[in-house]
Amino acid sequence: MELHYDVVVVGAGIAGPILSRNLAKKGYRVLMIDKKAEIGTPKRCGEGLGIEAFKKYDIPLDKRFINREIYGAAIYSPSGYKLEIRYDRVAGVILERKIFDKMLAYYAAKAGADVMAKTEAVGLIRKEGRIAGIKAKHEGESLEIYADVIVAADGVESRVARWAGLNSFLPPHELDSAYEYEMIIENFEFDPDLIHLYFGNNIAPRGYVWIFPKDEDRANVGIGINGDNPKTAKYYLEKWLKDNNIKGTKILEVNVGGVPVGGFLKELVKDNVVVVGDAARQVNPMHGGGMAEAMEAATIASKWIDKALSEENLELLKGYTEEWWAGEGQKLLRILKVRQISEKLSDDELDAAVQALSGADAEKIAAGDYKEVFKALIKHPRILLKPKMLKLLKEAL
Amino acid sequence: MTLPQVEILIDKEKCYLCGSCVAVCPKEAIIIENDEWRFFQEKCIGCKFCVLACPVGALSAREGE
Repeated sequence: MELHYDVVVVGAGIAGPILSRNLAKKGYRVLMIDKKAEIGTPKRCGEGLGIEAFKKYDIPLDKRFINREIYGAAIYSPSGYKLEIRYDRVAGVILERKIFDKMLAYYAAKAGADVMAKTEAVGLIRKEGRIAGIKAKHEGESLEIYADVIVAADGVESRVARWAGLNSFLPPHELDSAYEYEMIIENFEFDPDLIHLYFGNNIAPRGYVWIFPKDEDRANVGIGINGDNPKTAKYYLEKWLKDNNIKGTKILEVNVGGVPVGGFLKELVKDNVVVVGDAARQVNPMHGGGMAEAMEAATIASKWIDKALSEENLELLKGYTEEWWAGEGQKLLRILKVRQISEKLSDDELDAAVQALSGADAEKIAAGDYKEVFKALIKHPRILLKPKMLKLLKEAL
Repeated sequence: MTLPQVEILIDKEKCYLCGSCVAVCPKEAIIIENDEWRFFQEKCIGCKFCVLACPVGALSAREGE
């Protein structure tokens, strides 16, 4: 079967539906396909999203995909020092991604986009030396989807970008390997109004263990570790549960995934192929969250696709690369540099850091004001930043 | 420099098809298509990045001759 659209979007996670919705609203003929039979399932995500994303990206606060409102975060050092950041207002929510993703696809469809689940991209259509569309399969049936612009929103395992000739290979050091249970937590105290993050080189090398509450007793309990670690994420999560005497006997869901934490794609556009979200490695390398980042990239990309199509000049697509790198890209690079410092801290230094930060301006830290973080750190007598780390720090700030 | 040739083996009962191995493969020697994990020996350069990156330890490398 042969289909014709202005834009074909591969992947209905976060970036895909936002981009499809934006372009459908402008009147373009958009088709979004996803290989999954059920959009949103399985998810690979801790499901925490800052509250500001809803307004910023025009997403309704629909009760159907919000498990719980969150008022802040508690950070724990290896020896158990605690830094608590608590607001008197809702700071974020723990989503139900299975419903959230499907609703995002619904908003795209309502705006006029066509959506096809259980439809997998299998290759590019090339005609007269240019990329003319996507070859896809639906229940064994071959589809040829012709489009002026092809959007690769196909996640960490993206193939579309590579087919187009973009090197989106992610070295294992730039991937976090993640494992998560949705479970009932028994015999373990946690405030269900906060998210909880546990740091330590023996707890979660380079990453952290998280508790993201969905109920007073139910939470996503997960871990991210460096992807080149010889041990597995599952090993470290099981160890942490055991060390804290948390019984893992009420497990409602198991989630597994790789998180790009660095290696942001340099070229986000190749000819008429546009890459967004995890496929472009657009994830915050500090905390590994990528939903707001995907929404931002989708917003910028849709703006430039609109420009390119309305002015009939596909060269304009490159404006997305430039705009993303000038703003969001620079921000994520700075965060990556800070991460590269923090990952070198010993457990003793992590303890001292959390102690030091308890006296700093928590609001500023939460807002990502790392200057405030380091002002607090440098003053602490037990934190002796090595020359190499100081250099990185100077570059980052 | 050439690395020793390996064959990447999968324990399908452990695999969640999460795609971490696909992301870290420099040569597209691993793909997931139609809910199936597939390995292409002729593309593999023996780096074993996929074995390291797997969150559950579903992959192993068998040394070739």
